Amino acid sequence: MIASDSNEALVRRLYDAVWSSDDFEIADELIAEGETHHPHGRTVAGGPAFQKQAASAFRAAFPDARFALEVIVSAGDLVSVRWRCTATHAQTGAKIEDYVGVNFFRIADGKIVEIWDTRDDLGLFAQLGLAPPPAELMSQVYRSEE
Amino acid sequence: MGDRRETLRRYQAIWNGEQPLDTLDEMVTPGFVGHIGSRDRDLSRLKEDIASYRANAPTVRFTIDHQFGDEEYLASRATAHISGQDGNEFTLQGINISRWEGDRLAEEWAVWETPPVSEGDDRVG
Repeated sequence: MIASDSNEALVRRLYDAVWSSDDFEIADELIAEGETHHPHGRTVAGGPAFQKQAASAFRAAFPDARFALEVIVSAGDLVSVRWRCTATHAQTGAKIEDYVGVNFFRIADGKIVEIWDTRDDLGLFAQLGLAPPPAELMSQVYRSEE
Repeated sequence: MGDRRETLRRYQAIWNGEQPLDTLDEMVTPGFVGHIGSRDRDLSRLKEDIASYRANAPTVRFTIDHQFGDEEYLASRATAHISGQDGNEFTLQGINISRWEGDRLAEEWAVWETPPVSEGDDRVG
């Protein structure tokens, strides 16, 4: 198995075990202690504990969440994925069909050492009825579409 | 892959208002599909979006921070530089994966950050 294949397998396992199941402890095998995380373009300290906390909080709100990797690109020490999450919101019963994101991962010595994370949170909020649909917001931003 | 990177640079230049909109016709396939968040758009809608964007946000400039790819795909991290009315600049981050047919852009998936709901909003992935 060449490095990019094993890197891809590592990222797939993160989504399958940690984010689509409740196997949070697997994060210890996949994420380096000193992982650097870039959520929303910021830089914070990551690591397996951070990943476990984030995944367990998300799965508490969306217990049946499933992350499908629709596109995966890997070369050298980098992997990029486009994921789609389907889930049910535990509190309201709302069905989420279309929560998507695109992430970058950098891998070294068999573990993820850096993550760049972008997600369509506005789309998620819209599906929960907490915000107008993105298309409606776009029509307000782009006056020529009114 | 070099030609693809150059095509994406020209694609970015169109978004920046530095190249004519019609040059898109030679960069993308006729069946182009863009997936922006969970919204889809074809070539016609892409042109409408860029035109509207340039009309309403003329000061925004996009830069590509990092790219890598394989035989079929190119993944890019990008930054939108936005000048506020007070003259201060702020930035938004996005990640784009593009699929290619030959040297033409056939499909892309992009997600741009939305402002954090609160400090510490670091959930998911």
